[in-house]
Amino acid sequence: MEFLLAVLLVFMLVGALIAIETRDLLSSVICTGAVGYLASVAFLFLGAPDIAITQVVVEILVLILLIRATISRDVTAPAGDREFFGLVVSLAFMLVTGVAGMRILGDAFPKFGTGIFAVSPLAPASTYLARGWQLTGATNIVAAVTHDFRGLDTLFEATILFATVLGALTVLRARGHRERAEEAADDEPLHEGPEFRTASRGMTMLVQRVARGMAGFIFLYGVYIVLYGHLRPGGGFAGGIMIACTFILLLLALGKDGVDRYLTRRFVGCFSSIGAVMLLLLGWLGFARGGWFLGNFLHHAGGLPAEGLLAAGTMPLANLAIALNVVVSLVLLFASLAVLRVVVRQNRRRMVKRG
Amino acid sequence: MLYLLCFALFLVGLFGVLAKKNLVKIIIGFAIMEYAIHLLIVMLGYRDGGRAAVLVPGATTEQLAASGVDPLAQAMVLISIVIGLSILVMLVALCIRLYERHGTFDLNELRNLKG
Repeated sequence: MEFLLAVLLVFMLVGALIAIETRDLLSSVICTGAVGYLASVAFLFLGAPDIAITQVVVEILVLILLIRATISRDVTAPAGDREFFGLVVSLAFMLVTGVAGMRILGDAFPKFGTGIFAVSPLAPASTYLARGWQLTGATNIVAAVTHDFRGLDTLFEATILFATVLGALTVLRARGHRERAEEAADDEPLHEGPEFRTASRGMTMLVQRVARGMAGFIFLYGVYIVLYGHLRPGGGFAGGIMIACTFILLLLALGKDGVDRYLTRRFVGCFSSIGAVMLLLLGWLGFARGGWFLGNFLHHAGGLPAEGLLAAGTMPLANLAIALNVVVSLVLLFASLAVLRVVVRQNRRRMVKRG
Repeated sequence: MLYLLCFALFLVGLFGVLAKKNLVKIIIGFAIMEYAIHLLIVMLGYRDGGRAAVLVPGATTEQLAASGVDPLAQAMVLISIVIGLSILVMLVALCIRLYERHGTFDLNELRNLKG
């Protein structure tokens, strides 16, 4: 086991080094993806299937985002003269961090394979394991921790995701005063790069057919992962990202025109905040009915079946809310990254490069 | 040994953030540091012969309590992964914005454009 993990980690290290050192940005991004997938395999061996699933889907999204950010832009890394002083400072910083880390990792942490239980038997983790099912009705104890024992964490996590996506949208869509003035100044028509044409018309017929065929299955699997999040590994985030991936796949394959049919602006507008509102509503209902914020009032009330979809009270509902939040945030963000702002003004770019 | 390998991965990411001049490389460095930290936390929660913290049909809670891995560490990492994704999204958005404005990912060039 330890040997296996060590091999995986060595591969990850190699991938990371290539990602950092290679000159080609696209291969660097793909190497990062390899590191992420290896991490997901390592999670699987470490008994963390929830994290493995989430890591895989997050990795897919990161790859799409980074490739979208780098491809058809400056693909070659700039040569640039290295600053000697900067390199020395960063190496010194790394040395200090390295020495400190060695000391901490050498003796402060328990040996690999002992866990927290050996150090302190009264750790909350042992209570969660022993009584999690009894207290929440969820067979997936990790979901029980994220959605019930530590529901606030999840609420704030959803808030952070929502806020970041709003921030990113603002950054991507806002145009500065100077830009507006420049646009008013020159009457030259905007250049439309090849990216714009791809974005609006989509890819070839073959890709479109396959994407349409696949989308339904991916969507269904995402829904399964969301709905069974409290019973099996999975949950709102992993499933939500999968469902978002369905729309992103369609967006990439069919282009803007095709997606407008599936995902109208009105639909997105209606759903943009429904997930977050639903989660907050669940929290306040818990306050009203069960006595504390985000309390699992349905489970405490009793009368639910011990097994199956309805077992864990509010947890499937919370999963659904989180999934909605994730889907809408990510699809909005991706639509704005890929479709809305692709008209790059090439004349200005050239001007900047020359200067 | 495993912890130290994880830490080496973290240092590789740190090197990317500190020494690289390309914005995309810096983002990649952040992502690698994140993987290393997540892996380290999940490793801390592992116990020998541990099984996933899921109550499978046929198993009792006593068995799970005796052999399950730490669900708290996993919950923490689960939340951290999503926050990491948010940070990455934000960074990519800023990066694209900078590129649109100045036409480069290179920090040196961006610095020269100041003013």
